[in-house]
Amino acid sequence: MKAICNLAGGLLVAAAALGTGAPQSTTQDLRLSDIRAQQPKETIFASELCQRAREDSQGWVIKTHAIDPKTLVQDLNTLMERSDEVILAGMLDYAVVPSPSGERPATYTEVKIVRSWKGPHRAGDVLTYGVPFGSLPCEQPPPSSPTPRFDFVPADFGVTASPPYAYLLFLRQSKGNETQLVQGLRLAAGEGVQGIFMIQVPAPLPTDTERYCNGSRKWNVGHCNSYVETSQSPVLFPYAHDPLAKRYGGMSASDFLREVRSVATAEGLKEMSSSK
Amino acid sequence: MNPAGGTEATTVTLNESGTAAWDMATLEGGTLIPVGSYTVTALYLGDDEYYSEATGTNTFAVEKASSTSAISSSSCPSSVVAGSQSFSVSVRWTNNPTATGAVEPTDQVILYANPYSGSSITGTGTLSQGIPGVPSTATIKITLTAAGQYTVTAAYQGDANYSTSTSEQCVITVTKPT
Repeated sequence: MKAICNLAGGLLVAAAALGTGAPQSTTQDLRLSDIRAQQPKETIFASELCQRAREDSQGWVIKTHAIDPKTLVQDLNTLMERSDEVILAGMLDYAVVPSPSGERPATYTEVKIVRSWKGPHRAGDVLTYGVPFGSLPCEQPPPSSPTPRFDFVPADFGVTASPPYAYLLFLRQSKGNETQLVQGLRLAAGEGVQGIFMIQVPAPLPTDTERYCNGSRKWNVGHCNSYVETSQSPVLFPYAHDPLAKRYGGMSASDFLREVRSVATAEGLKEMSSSK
Repeated sequence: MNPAGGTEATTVTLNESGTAAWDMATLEGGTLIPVGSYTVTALYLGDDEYYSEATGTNTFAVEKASSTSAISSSSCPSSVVAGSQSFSVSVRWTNNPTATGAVEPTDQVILYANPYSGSSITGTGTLSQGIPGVPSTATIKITLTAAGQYTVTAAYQGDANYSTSTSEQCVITVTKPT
């Protein structure tokens, strides 16, 4: 089943970076609203993945995927070179839908950019990227209890620190057969699991007037940026076998950001952030 | 509302039929309300003409959510050669949470491989947090040396937000190396 048959009609052309000193480029931006419009709940419910989940004895199909070590990059410079976009961002929303090929779920996450090192987007922009894995809930109004689901997840993936997080993302455009698993921007390496680094941020308190880097659209980019800049929390590597963890594991978020800045500078890239 | 350790207040407006509604999630800034006992007190401030001030109190408990455990079908082949075997165990909320920002089940999972004769072999693993939409699984490696059939189950020990659960059985036949 071609779940996202042709999103081109719903694709927007992002503004090229003008007058910033950054390379001008045009990219196709997926929007979560377009993805949801293409695959409403009724379509997801009728998908082959959800049919298999409903037919399962416990209504839950789980498949784990071992990442091919050959697809992992060994150093930050290579990850930067392979990326079309390198950003620090906070999550706004996400959706799990069947992949274009229909063989597994894909997760699309909408983030707001806090800082950028590479690519046409700038602080304050909203960007959507995909991961060719996910846990697909199969609902049909009204939701059944429990909801059948189809999981296709990477093995040895996850962090021990509790949410919320800010995300440092190394992204590139999907190409060739990859577009059958996830469209648009994806994590740059490791079959779509390498290129995401997480920084724990404070959970909102009832008295907070501002939120940090996560959740609703109300959080402030500058507030998030200044928090992460000085964060002594260790940067988190969700893929347990990420070779970069050997060198950077345990490093504070602020120090890791300095490493990223250094690698970007060596590549002739300029950090763009916002205090607003 | 009075969770253990603090009080939080919000103001809501009565509608034409004299009812006011509030969303607990907004009280906590959109995060999940922790498990525990709560007291809710409604204070009506009265108006200038007809009604005087009044209060009403009620209590309620936020309980742990039900969890469901399962062993990944891709880590449960019908037959394996004796030796080390990895199992992926997933634990999820049983019903989709209605609140945004729901956390995933975390903490320890114990795997039991019970042969038809002899003592069971156990292993433990830890569930962590994945990324939005891509949950974590616990990978548990055990060594099955004796040939024969085993029934493998995973038992989730629960955490602050989720209750315990046990997976369905995975039946696996271990054969001797050739």
